[in-house]
Amino acid sequence: MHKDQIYIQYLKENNSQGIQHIYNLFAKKIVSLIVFNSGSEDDAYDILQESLMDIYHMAHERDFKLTTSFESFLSLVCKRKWLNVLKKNKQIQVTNSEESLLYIEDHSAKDLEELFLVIDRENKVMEVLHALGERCQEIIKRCLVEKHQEKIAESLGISYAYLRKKKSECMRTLTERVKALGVF
Amino acid sequence: MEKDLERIQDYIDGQLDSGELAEFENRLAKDEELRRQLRMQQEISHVLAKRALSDEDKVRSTITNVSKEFRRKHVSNIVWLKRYATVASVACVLLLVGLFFLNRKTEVYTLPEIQSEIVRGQEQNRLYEDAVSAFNGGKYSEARAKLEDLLKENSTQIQNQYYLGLSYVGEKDWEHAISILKPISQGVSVFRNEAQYYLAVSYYKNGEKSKAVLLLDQLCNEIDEWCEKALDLKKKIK
Repeated sequence: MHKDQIYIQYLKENNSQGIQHIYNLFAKKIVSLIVFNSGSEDDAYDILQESLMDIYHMAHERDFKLTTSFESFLSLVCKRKWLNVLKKNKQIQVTNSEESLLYIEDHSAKDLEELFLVIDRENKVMEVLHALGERCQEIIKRCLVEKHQEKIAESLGISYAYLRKKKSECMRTLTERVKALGVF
Repeated sequence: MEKDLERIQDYIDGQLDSGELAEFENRLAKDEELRRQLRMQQEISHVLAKRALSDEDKVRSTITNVSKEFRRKHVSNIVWLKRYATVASVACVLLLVGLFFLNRKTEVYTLPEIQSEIVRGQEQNRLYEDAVSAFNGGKYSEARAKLEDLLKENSTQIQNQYYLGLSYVGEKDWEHAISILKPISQGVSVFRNEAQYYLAVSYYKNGEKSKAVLLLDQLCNEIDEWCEKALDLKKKIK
């Protein structure tokens, strides 16, 4: 196991001091990287934050083990995320030079790319969820987390039948939008 | 289609009675499109459940708070970084122009010119401007002496440390250049990459070619704008 696995652990355990340590060690370099590549300081901190969230989710996926330094890994995640932003804003064209920018000295690069794709897919589903109304979000989340839907309905001041109908509508909307994005 | 989406969701949630369940499973066995739709909804439900059951919100809150605190503490450094990014950019342009006109057969590197800090004719620091004038005039020993005086006033000023390092390069005092440029190349200032480049030059001139090549390779793996310069130097020294 790489000695930097501890940083993955900090994220996994929501260790505030550990996360502060991550910022103290790596934030400036990441910010410089984004700022030197057409980003603002705000962009840089947003990318860093979202990249750390992605790493948190990766840490829970298949018991993720770091095989390179955390600095290299974090840089890779951030670069990848920032490239996607630039592509989306049409600020860059897709070129072969991306491969060298995103290269990481790691024999499990293919596994890593698959993991990135899983997290990207999940993030897109969550983006669609967050674009639904607050009531839909609440109903969907609570129905997933809590066992007794009758109690959920009661706490929301609606009938059980109405809850089922509303949940069904929300999930239908969400599914249609996810399908339209071509995520799955 | 709408009804199918609702029926699929009820199936996933275990909300179908025995009759409805049998009918639905019978349809699934015959309808490939229905099976595909079911797989997609199952995957979506799986993602939602995974994220809903994670501590995502708490972790995001922690990261947000840490980020805010970090930015609050480091705002002065970033402002300084932006301020001197212009200086570094101008220095790079001057360096490239210098390289274009210089006879490359005689030297593998050129030194940049130091940017003056005079704004709208108003001089802020006489000693610094004297150092700039001496350095840009090729009087590196004189520039070094003035930069050393400036550093006595403020030893943490990385800009002056960097130019002191370059003054040693100008004097061809490679060992002193290395001792000054090495910590800057390992730090996080805006001069980091330039320091790394001139540190590589100093190592090469000091007979430590492998260290020079290693540094140039690192430069190429990091910030792209420096890759071309590093490759060019590497070609010359090999």
